[in-house]
Amino acid sequence: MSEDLLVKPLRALTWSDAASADWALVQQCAAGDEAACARLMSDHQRMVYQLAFHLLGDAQEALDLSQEVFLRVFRTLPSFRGQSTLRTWIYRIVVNQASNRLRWWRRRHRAQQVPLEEHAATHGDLPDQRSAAMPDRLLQQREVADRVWGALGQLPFDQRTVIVLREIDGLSYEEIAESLGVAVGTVKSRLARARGTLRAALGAA
Amino acid sequence: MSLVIHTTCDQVHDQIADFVDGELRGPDVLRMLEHLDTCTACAEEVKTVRQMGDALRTVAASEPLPRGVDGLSSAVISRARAEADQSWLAFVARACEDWHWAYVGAGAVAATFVSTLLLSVILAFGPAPARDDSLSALITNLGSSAGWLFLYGTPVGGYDAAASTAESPVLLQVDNGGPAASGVMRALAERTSDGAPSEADLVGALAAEIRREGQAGSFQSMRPADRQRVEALLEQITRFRLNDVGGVGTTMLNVHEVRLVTSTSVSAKGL
Repeated sequence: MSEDLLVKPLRALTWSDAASADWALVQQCAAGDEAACARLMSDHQRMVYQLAFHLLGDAQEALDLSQEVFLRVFRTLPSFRGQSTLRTWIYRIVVNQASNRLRWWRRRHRAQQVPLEEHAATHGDLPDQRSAAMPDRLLQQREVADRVWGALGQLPFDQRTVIVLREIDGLSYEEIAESLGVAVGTVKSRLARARGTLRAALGAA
Repeated sequence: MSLVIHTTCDQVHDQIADFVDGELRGPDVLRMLEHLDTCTACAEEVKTVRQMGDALRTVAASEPLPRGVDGLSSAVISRARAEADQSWLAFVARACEDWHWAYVGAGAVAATFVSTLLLSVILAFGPAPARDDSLSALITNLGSSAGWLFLYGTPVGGYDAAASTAESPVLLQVDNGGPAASGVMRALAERTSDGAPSEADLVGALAAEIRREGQAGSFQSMRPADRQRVEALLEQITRFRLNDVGGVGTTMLNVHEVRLVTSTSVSAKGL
Protein backbone atom coordinates (compact mmCIF):
# COMPACT_ATOMS: atom_id res chain seq x y z
CA MET A 1 0.00 0.00 0.00
CA SER A 2 2.80 2.26 0.83
CA GLU A 3 4.22 1.73 -2.64
CA ASP A 4 1.06 3.25 -4.10
CA LEU A 5 1.29 6.26 -1.93
CA LEU A 6 2.25 9.31 -3.92
CA VAL A 7 3.94 12.06 -2.09
CA LYS A 8 3.42 15.38 -3.78
CA PRO A 9 5.73 18.24 -2.91
CA LEU A 10 3.91 20.99 -1.10
CA ARG A 11 3.91 24.26 -2.90
CA ALA A 12 4.92 27.30 -0.93
CA LEU A 13 1.85 29.44 -0.39
CA THR A 14 3.49 32.58 0.86
CA TRP A 15 2.87 34.33 -2.42
CA SER A 16 -0.14 34.24 -4.64
CA ASP A 17 0.45 33.94 -8.35
CA ALA A 18 -0.30 37.63 -8.80
CA ALA A 19 2.12 38.57 -6.06
CA SER A 20 4.77 36.32 -7.59
CA ALA A 21 4.30 38.05 -10.92
CA ASP A 22 4.58 41.40 -9.17
CA TRP A 23 7.71 40.23 -7.41
CA ALA A 24 9.30 39.13 -10.66
CA LEU A 25 8.41 42.47 -12.21
CA VAL A 26 9.92 44.27 -9.24
CA GLN A 27 13.15 42.31 -9.59
CA GLN A 28 13.40 43.16 -13.28
CA CYS A 29 12.73 46.84 -12.64
CA ALA A 30 15.29 46.93 -9.84
CA ALA A 31 17.80 45.40 -12.25
CA GLY A 32 17.25 48.37 -14.59
CA ASP A 33 15.08 46.67 -17.21
CA GLU A 34 13.31 49.58 -18.92
CA ALA A 35 10.72 47.36 -20.58
CA ALA A 36 9.75 46.01 -17.16
CA CYS A 37 9.54 49.54 -15.81
CA ALA A 38 7.27 50.52 -18.67
CA ARG A 39 5.07 47.49 -18.01
CA LEU A 40 4.87 48.30 -14.30
CA MET A 41 3.80 51.81 -15.15
CA SER A 42 1.23 50.77 -17.72
CA ASP A 43 -0.22 48.35 -15.16
CA HIS A 44 -0.54 51.01 -12.50
CA GLN A 45 -0.63 54.43 -14.17
CA ARG A 46 -4.40 54.78 -14.23
CA MET A 47 -4.66 53.73 -10.62
CA VAL A 48 -1.95 56.17 -9.60
CA TYR A 49 -3.31 59.06 -11.62
CA GLN A 50 -6.89 58.57 -10.46
CA LEU A 51 -5.95 58.33 -6.81
CA ALA A 52 -3.77 61.42 -7.16
CA PHE A 53 -6.60 63.26 -8.91
CA HIS A 54 -9.13 62.28 -6.28
CA LEU A 55 -6.84 63.38 -3.51
CA LEU A 56 -5.68 66.63 -5.11
CA GLY A 57 -8.71 67.55 -7.22
CA ASP A 58 -6.61 68.92 -10.07
CA ALA A 59 -5.75 67.03 -13.26
CA GLN A 60 -2.44 68.73 -13.99
CA GLU A 61 -1.27 68.42 -10.40
CA ALA A 62 -2.29 64.77 -10.47
CA LEU A 63 -0.24 64.17 -13.61
CA ASP A 64 2.82 65.82 -12.11
CA LEU A 65 2.36 63.85 -8.93
CA SER A 66 2.03 60.61 -10.89
CA GLN A 67 5.42 61.21 -12.47
CA GLU A 68 6.92 61.91 -9.07
CA VAL A 69 5.33 58.77 -7.67
CA PHE A 70 6.77 56.51 -10.37
CA LEU A 71 10.19 58.08 -10.07
CA ARG A 72 10.06 57.43 -6.37
CA VAL A 73 8.83 53.91 -6.96
CA PHE A 74 11.83 53.15 -9.19
CA ARG A 75 14.26 54.81 -6.77
CA THR A 76 13.00 52.81 -3.82
CA LEU A 77 12.20 49.52 -5.56
CA PRO A 78 15.41 47.89 -4.31
CA SER A 79 14.14 48.39 -0.77
CA PHE A 80 10.77 46.76 -1.53
CA ARG A 81 10.75 43.50 0.44
CA GLY A 82 7.26 42.35 -0.35
CA GLN A 83 5.80 42.73 3.13
CA SER A 84 2.78 44.28 1.42
CA THR A 85 1.50 43.90 -2.09
CA LEU A 86 2.98 46.06 -4.81
CA ARG A 87 -0.36 47.80 -5.23
CA THR A 88 -0.71 48.84 -1.60
CA TRP A 89 2.97 49.85 -1.55
CA ILE A 90 2.38 52.16 -4.52
CA TYR A 91 -0.82 53.47 -2.93
CA ARG A 92 1.20 54.38 0.13
CA ILE A 93 3.68 56.34 -1.96
CA VAL A 94 0.85 58.18 -3.73
CA VAL A 95 -0.80 59.14 -0.45
CA ASN A 96 2.50 60.33 1.07
CA GLN A 97 3.43 62.33 -1.98
CA ALA A 98 -0.04 63.88 -2.21
CA SER A 99 0.07 64.79 1.46
CA ASN A 100 3.49 66.42 1.03
CA ARG A 101 2.33 68.32 -2.02
CA LEU A 102 -0.80 69.62 -0.33
CA ARG A 103 1.23 70.73 2.66
CA TRP A 104 3.75 72.48 0.42
CA TRP A 105 0.96 74.02 -1.64
CA ARG A 106 -0.82 75.37 1.44
CA ARG A 107 2.41 76.89 2.77
CA ARG A 108 3.30 78.47 -0.53
CA HIS A 109 -0.08 79.72 -1.68
CA ARG A 110 -1.91 80.49 1.51
CA ALA A 111 -0.80 84.11 1.37
CA GLN A 112 -1.83 84.37 -2.25
CA GLN A 113 -5.34 82.95 -1.85
CA VAL A 114 -8.17 85.31 -2.71
CA PRO A 115 -11.82 84.67 -1.81
CA LEU A 116 -14.01 83.91 -4.81
CA GLU A 117 -16.24 86.93 -4.18
CA GLU A 118 -13.20 89.21 -4.16
CA HIS A 119 -11.92 87.69 -7.38
CA ALA A 120 -15.32 88.16 -9.05
CA ALA A 121 -15.48 91.78 -7.89
CA THR A 122 -12.06 92.45 -9.39
CA HIS A 123 -12.16 90.39 -12.56
CA GLY A 124 -15.89 89.85 -13.16
CA ASP A 125 -17.78 86.57 -12.83
CA LEU A 126 -16.20 83.40 -14.06
CA PRO A 127 -17.53 82.44 -17.49
CA ASP A 128 -20.07 79.65 -17.29
CA GLN A 129 -18.95 77.44 -20.11
CA ARG A 130 -21.18 74.58 -19.19
CA SER A 131 -24.65 75.99 -19.65
CA ALA A 132 -24.05 77.27 -23.16
CA ALA A 133 -23.17 74.00 -24.85
CA MET A 134 -24.27 71.18 -22.55
CA PRO A 135 -27.56 69.36 -22.78
CA ASP A 136 -29.63 69.30 -19.63
CA ARG A 137 -28.67 65.75 -18.70
CA LEU A 138 -24.98 66.44 -18.96
CA LEU A 139 -25.39 69.67 -17.12
CA GLN A 140 -27.16 67.89 -14.31
CA GLN A 141 -24.43 65.27 -14.15
CA ARG A 142 -21.84 68.03 -14.05
CA GLU A 143 -23.60 69.74 -11.21
CA VAL A 144 -23.79 66.49 -9.26
CA ALA A 145 -20.12 65.88 -9.90
CA ASP A 146 -19.25 69.39 -8.75
CA ARG A 147 -21.22 68.88 -5.57
CA VAL A 148 -19.52 65.57 -4.88
CA TRP A 149 -16.02 66.88 -5.59
CA GLY A 150 -16.80 69.99 -3.56
CA ALA A 151 -17.91 67.87 -0.58
CA LEU A 152 -14.92 65.58 -0.98
CA GLY A 153 -12.59 68.58 -1.13
CA GLN A 154 -13.96 69.83 2.18
CA LEU A 155 -12.89 66.69 3.99
CA PRO A 156 -9.62 66.63 5.93
CA PHE A 157 -6.91 64.85 3.96
CA ASP A 158 -6.84 61.69 6.11
CA GLN A 159 -10.62 61.25 5.84
CA ARG A 160 -10.61 62.00 2.12
CA THR A 161 -7.90 59.40 1.62
CA VAL A 162 -9.76 56.58 3.33
CA ILE A 163 -13.05 57.25 1.62
CA VAL A 164 -11.41 57.45 -1.80
CA LEU A 165 -9.44 54.26 -1.20
CA ARG A 166 -12.56 52.48 0.03
CA GLU A 167 -15.33 53.73 -2.21
CA ILE A 168 -13.54 54.51 -5.45
CA ASP A 169 -10.54 52.20 -5.42
CA GLY A 170 -12.36 49.45 -3.57
CA LEU A 171 -9.61 48.57 -1.10
CA SER A 172 -10.46 46.49 1.95
CA TYR A 173 -9.97 47.89 5.42
CA GLU A 174 -6.79 45.87 5.77
CA GLU A 175 -5.38 47.10 2.49
CA ILE A 176 -6.19 50.69 3.40
CA ALA A 177 -4.47 50.21 6.75
CA GLU A 178 -1.38 48.83 4.97
CA SER A 179 -1.38 51.67 2.47
CA LEU A 180 -1.61 54.33 5.14
CA GLY A 181 0.47 52.60 7.77
CA VAL A 182 -2.29 52.82 10.39
CA ALA A 183 -4.42 50.33 12.31
CA VAL A 184 -7.64 48.91 10.91
CA GLY A 185 -9.54 50.54 13.76
CA THR A 186 -8.19 53.91 12.71
CA VAL A 187 -9.36 53.25 9.16
CA LYS A 188 -12.87 52.44 10.37
CA SER A 189 -13.12 55.52 12.56
CA ARG A 190 -11.83 57.80 9.80
CA LEU A 191 -14.24 56.24 7.36
CA ALA A 192 -17.18 56.75 9.71
CA ARG A 193 -16.27 60.42 10.22
CA ALA A 194 -15.77 60.93 6.49
CA ARG A 195 -19.15 59.42 5.66
CA GLY A 196 -20.86 61.54 8.29
CA THR A 197 -19.29 64.73 6.96
CA LEU A 198 -19.99 63.81 3.32
CA ARG A 199 -23.58 63.02 4.05
CA ALA A 200 -24.06 66.34 5.80
CA ALA A 201 -22.36 68.23 2.96
CA LEU A 202 -24.27 66.49 0.20
CA GLY A 203 -27.55 66.70 2.09
CA ALA A 204 -27.15 70.43 2.68
CA ALA A 205 -26.10 71.18 -0.90
CA MET B 1 -36.37 24.08 14.26
CA SER B 2 -34.65 27.39 13.79
CA LEU B 3 -33.43 29.69 16.46
CA VAL B 4 -34.39 33.28 15.79
CA ILE B 5 -32.51 35.90 17.77
CA HIS B 6 -33.89 39.40 17.46
CA THR B 7 -31.32 42.13 17.48
CA THR B 8 -31.81 45.77 18.30
CA CYS B 9 -30.72 48.77 16.22
CA ASP B 10 -28.08 49.66 18.81
CA GLN B 11 -26.54 46.22 18.44
CA VAL B 12 -26.11 46.48 14.68
CA HIS B 13 -25.68 50.20 14.17
CA ASP B 14 -21.91 50.15 14.42
CA GLN B 15 -21.75 47.28 11.94
CA ILE B 16 -23.69 48.95 9.15
CA ALA B 17 -20.58 50.41 7.52
CA ASP B 18 -18.76 47.07 7.81
CA PHE B 19 -21.78 45.36 6.24
CA VAL B 20 -21.90 47.78 3.30
CA ASP B 21 -18.14 47.48 2.81
CA GLY B 22 -18.27 43.69 2.84
CA GLU B 23 -16.16 43.42 5.97
CA LEU B 24 -18.65 41.52 8.12
CA ARG B 25 -18.15 37.80 8.69
CA GLY B 26 -20.78 35.00 8.24
CA PRO B 27 -22.83 34.98 11.45
CA ASP B 28 -22.80 38.75 11.68
CA VAL B 29 -23.96 39.07 8.08
CA LEU B 30 -26.89 36.74 8.75
CA ARG B 31 -27.80 38.66 11.87
CA MET B 32 -27.61 41.96 9.97
CA LEU B 33 -29.74 40.67 7.11
CA GLU B 34 -32.30 39.40 9.55
CA HIS B 35 -32.37 42.77 11.30
CA LEU B 36 -32.67 44.70 8.04
CA ASP B 37 -35.69 42.62 7.07
CA THR B 38 -37.53 43.95 10.06
CA CYS B 39 -36.02 47.42 10.62
CA THR B 40 -36.75 50.07 8.00
CA ALA B 41 -34.59 52.72 9.71
CA CYS B 42 -31.44 50.62 9.51
CA ALA B 43 -32.34 49.48 5.98
CA GLU B 44 -32.60 53.13 5.03
CA GLU B 45 -29.23 53.81 6.62
CA VAL B 46 -27.66 51.01 4.60
CA LYS B 47 -29.26 52.39 1.45
CA THR B 48 -27.93 55.89 2.12
CA VAL B 49 -24.37 54.67 2.68
CA ARG B 50 -24.54 52.61 -0.50
CA GLN B 51 -25.94 55.53 -2.50
CA MET B 52 -23.14 57.76 -1.31
CA GLY B 53 -20.56 55.21 -2.42
CA ASP B 54 -22.36 54.77 -5.74
CA ALA B 55 -22.36 58.53 -6.28
CA LEU B 56 -18.62 58.72 -5.64
CA ARG B 57 -17.88 55.84 -8.01
CA THR B 58 -20.16 57.24 -10.71
CA VAL B 59 -18.62 60.68 -10.53
CA ALA B 60 -15.10 59.24 -10.48
CA ALA B 61 -15.81 57.03 -13.48
CA SER B 62 -17.22 59.95 -15.43
CA GLU B 63 -14.02 61.96 -15.10
CA PRO B 64 -12.10 61.70 -18.38
CA LEU B 65 -8.48 60.66 -18.27
CA PRO B 66 -6.20 63.36 -19.61
CA ARG B 67 -3.98 62.53 -22.56
CA GLY B 68 -0.88 62.81 -20.41
CA VAL B 69 -1.73 59.60 -18.56
CA ASP B 70 -0.93 57.42 -21.55
CA GLY B 71 2.38 59.21 -22.09
CA LEU B 72 3.28 58.93 -18.44
CA SER B 73 5.68 56.05 -18.83
CA SER B 74 7.80 57.73 -21.52
CA ALA B 75 7.96 60.94 -19.47
CA VAL B 76 8.99 59.05 -16.35
CA ILE B 77 11.62 57.00 -18.17
CA SER B 78 13.09 60.17 -19.69
CA ARG B 79 13.32 61.76 -16.28
CA ALA B 80 14.82 58.62 -14.79
CA ARG B 81 17.48 58.62 -17.51
CA ALA B 82 18.23 62.27 -16.86
CA GLU B 83 18.62 61.53 -13.17
CA ALA B 84 20.89 58.57 -13.93
CA ASP B 85 23.10 60.84 -16.05
CA GLN B 86 23.59 62.92 -12.95
CA SER B 87 25.52 60.10 -11.36
CA TRP B 88 28.28 60.55 -8.80
CA LEU B 89 30.82 60.80 -11.61
CA ALA B 90 28.92 63.76 -13.03
CA PHE B 91 28.68 65.20 -9.55
CA VAL B 92 32.43 64.86 -9.02
CA ALA B 93 33.12 66.38 -12.44
CA ARG B 94 30.97 69.38 -11.59
CA ALA B 95 32.68 69.77 -8.23
CA CYS B 96 36.12 69.69 -9.88
CA GLU B 97 35.18 72.53 -12.21
CA ASP B 98 35.94 74.81 -9.30
CA TRP B 99 39.42 73.57 -8.42
CA HIS B 100 40.10 75.81 -5.48
CA TRP B 101 37.86 73.68 -3.28
CA ALA B 102 39.92 70.68 -4.27
CA TYR B 103 43.09 72.54 -3.31
CA VAL B 104 41.60 73.52 0.03
CA GLY B 105 40.67 69.94 0.74
CA ALA B 106 44.07 68.58 -0.27
CA GLY B 107 45.85 71.21 1.83
CA ALA B 108 43.77 70.37 4.88
CA VAL B 109 44.54 66.68 4.49
CA ALA B 110 48.27 67.35 4.05
CA ALA B 111 48.40 69.67 7.08
CA THR B 112 46.68 67.07 9.21
CA PHE B 113 49.14 64.40 8.06
CA VAL B 114 52.23 66.55 8.77
CA SER B 115 50.96 67.64 12.20
CA THR B 116 50.23 64.07 13.19
CA LEU B 117 53.66 62.93 12.03
CA LEU B 118 55.44 65.72 13.92
CA LEU B 119 53.53 65.03 17.12
CA SER B 120 54.29 61.33 16.85
CA VAL B 121 58.05 62.03 16.49
CA ILE B 122 58.06 64.36 19.50
CA LEU B 123 56.20 61.85 21.65
CA ALA B 124 58.45 58.99 20.57
CA PHE B 125 61.88 60.64 20.81
CA GLY B 126 61.42 63.74 22.98
CA PRO B 127 62.51 63.97 26.66
CA ALA B 128 60.04 62.74 29.18
CA PRO B 129 59.05 65.66 31.43
CA ALA B 130 59.65 65.23 35.18
CA ARG B 131 56.98 66.26 37.58
CA ASP B 132 57.89 68.86 40.15
CA ASP B 133 56.79 66.65 43.00
CA SER B 134 58.58 63.53 41.78
CA LEU B 135 61.49 61.90 43.56
CA SER B 136 63.86 62.78 40.72
CA ALA B 137 62.86 66.45 41.08
CA LEU B 138 63.52 66.21 44.82
CA ILE B 139 67.01 64.80 44.22
CA THR B 140 67.73 67.45 41.61
CA ASN B 141 66.78 70.20 44.07
CA LEU B 142 68.84 68.72 46.85
CA GLY B 143 71.85 68.16 44.61
CA SER B 144 71.83 71.56 42.93
CA SER B 145 71.46 73.37 46.26
CA ALA B 146 70.15 76.48 44.62
CA GLY B 147 67.51 78.84 45.91
CA TRP B 148 66.53 79.71 49.43
CA LEU B 149 65.63 77.93 52.61
CA PHE B 150 63.00 79.46 54.84
CA LEU B 151 62.98 78.29 58.45
CA TYR B 152 60.14 78.92 60.83
CA GLY B 153 61.09 78.13 64.39
CA THR B 154 61.28 79.17 68.00
CA PRO B 155 64.73 79.98 69.63
CA VAL B 156 65.55 77.83 72.61
CA GLY B 157 66.17 80.19 75.51
CA GLY B 158 65.69 83.37 73.35
CA TYR B 159 68.33 85.31 71.43
CA ASP B 160 67.11 88.88 71.89
CA ALA B 161 65.42 89.31 75.18
CA ALA B 162 64.90 93.07 74.62
CA ALA B 163 63.11 92.64 71.32
CA SER B 164 60.97 89.62 71.95
CA THR B 165 59.94 87.12 74.50
CA ALA B 166 61.87 83.94 74.97
CA GLU B 167 59.32 81.91 73.05
CA SER B 168 58.77 84.30 70.05
CA PRO B 169 58.82 82.39 66.74
CA VAL B 170 61.20 83.67 64.03
CA LEU B 171 61.34 83.31 60.24
CA LEU B 172 64.86 82.94 58.82
CA GLN B 173 65.92 83.13 55.18
CA VAL B 174 69.07 81.12 54.42
CA ASP B 175 71.14 80.72 51.23
CA ASN B 176 71.04 77.13 50.04
CA GLY B 177 74.60 76.70 48.85
CA GLY B 178 75.71 77.55 45.33
CA PRO B 179 78.39 80.03 44.21
CA ALA B 180 76.78 82.91 46.05
CA ALA B 181 76.03 80.93 49.15
CA SER B 182 77.17 82.19 52.49
CA GLY B 183 80.11 80.77 54.29
CA VAL B 184 77.88 78.80 56.58
CA MET B 185 76.31 76.85 53.74
CA ARG B 186 79.62 76.30 51.96
CA ALA B 187 80.94 74.80 55.16
CA LEU B 188 77.95 72.50 55.29
CA ALA B 189 78.66 71.25 51.82
CA GLU B 190 82.30 70.36 52.60
CA ARG B 191 83.51 67.30 54.36
CA THR B 192 84.04 67.99 58.04
CA SER B 193 87.44 67.61 59.62
CA ASP B 194 86.47 64.73 61.90
CA GLY B 195 85.70 62.41 58.96
CA ALA B 196 81.91 62.50 59.25
CA PRO B 197 80.07 62.54 55.90
CA SER B 198 79.25 65.94 54.39
CA GLU B 199 75.86 66.98 53.06
CA ALA B 200 77.05 66.24 49.54
CA ASP B 201 77.90 62.67 50.59
CA LEU B 202 74.46 62.27 52.09
CA VAL B 203 72.73 63.58 48.93
CA GLY B 204 74.81 61.20 46.85
CA ALA B 205 73.90 58.32 49.12
CA LEU B 206 70.24 59.26 48.90
CA ALA B 207 70.35 59.43 45.14
CA ALA B 208 72.06 56.04 44.95
CA GLU B 209 69.49 54.59 47.32
CA ILE B 210 66.36 55.62 45.51
CA ARG B 211 67.61 55.38 41.93
CA ARG B 212 67.33 51.84 40.69
CA GLU B 213 68.62 51.15 37.20
CA GLY B 214 68.72 54.87 36.43
CA GLN B 215 65.07 55.45 37.34
CA ALA B 216 63.77 57.18 40.42
CA GLY B 217 61.53 54.82 42.36
CA SER B 218 58.66 55.70 44.63
CA PHE B 219 58.32 55.38 48.39
CA GLN B 220 55.34 53.08 47.95
CA SER B 221 57.33 50.58 45.91
CA MET B 222 60.30 50.43 48.31
CA ARG B 223 60.94 47.67 50.73
CA PRO B 224 60.49 48.76 54.39
CA ALA B 225 64.23 48.54 55.14
CA ASP B 226 65.16 50.67 52.10
CA ARG B 227 62.45 53.11 52.92
CA GLN B 228 63.76 53.52 56.48
CA ARG B 229 67.28 54.18 55.14
CA VAL B 230 65.96 56.81 52.73
CA GLU B 231 64.01 58.52 55.47
CA ALA B 232 67.07 58.50 57.74
CA LEU B 233 69.20 60.08 55.00
CA LEU B 234 66.59 62.76 54.36
CA GLU B 235 66.44 63.51 58.06
CA GLN B 236 70.24 63.73 58.25
CA ILE B 237 70.35 66.12 55.28
CA THR B 238 67.69 68.25 56.93
CA ARG B 239 69.69 68.33 60.14
CA PHE B 240 72.79 69.43 58.23
CA ARG B 241 70.95 72.35 56.70
CA LEU B 242 69.42 73.44 59.97
CA ASN B 243 72.36 72.76 62.23
CA ASP B 244 73.91 76.22 62.25
CA VAL B 245 72.33 79.07 60.40
CA GLY B 246 73.79 82.52 59.90
CA GLY B 247 72.35 85.43 61.80
CA VAL B 248 71.31 83.32 64.74
CA GLY B 249 74.82 82.44 65.84
CA THR B 250 74.87 79.53 68.25
CA THR B 251 71.25 79.93 69.23
CA MET B 252 69.36 76.67 69.09
CA LEU B 253 66.00 76.63 67.29
CA ASN B 254 62.99 74.43 67.62
CA VAL B 255 62.20 74.27 63.86
CA HIS B 256 58.54 73.98 63.03
CA GLU B 257 58.65 74.26 59.24
CA VAL B 258 61.25 74.30 56.45
CA ARG B 259 60.48 75.51 52.92
CA LEU B 260 62.81 75.33 49.95
CA VAL B 261 62.15 78.01 47.34
CA THR B 262 63.91 77.16 44.09
CA SER B 263 62.44 79.89 41.89
CA THR B 264 59.95 82.71 41.82
CA SER B 265 58.01 84.11 38.92
CA VAL B 266 56.05 87.28 38.29
CA SER B 267 52.94 87.20 36.14
CA ALA B 268 51.20 90.22 34.74
CA LYS B 269 47.83 91.06 36.16
CA GLY B 270 45.06 91.83 33.74
CA LEU B 271 43.78 95.36 33.69
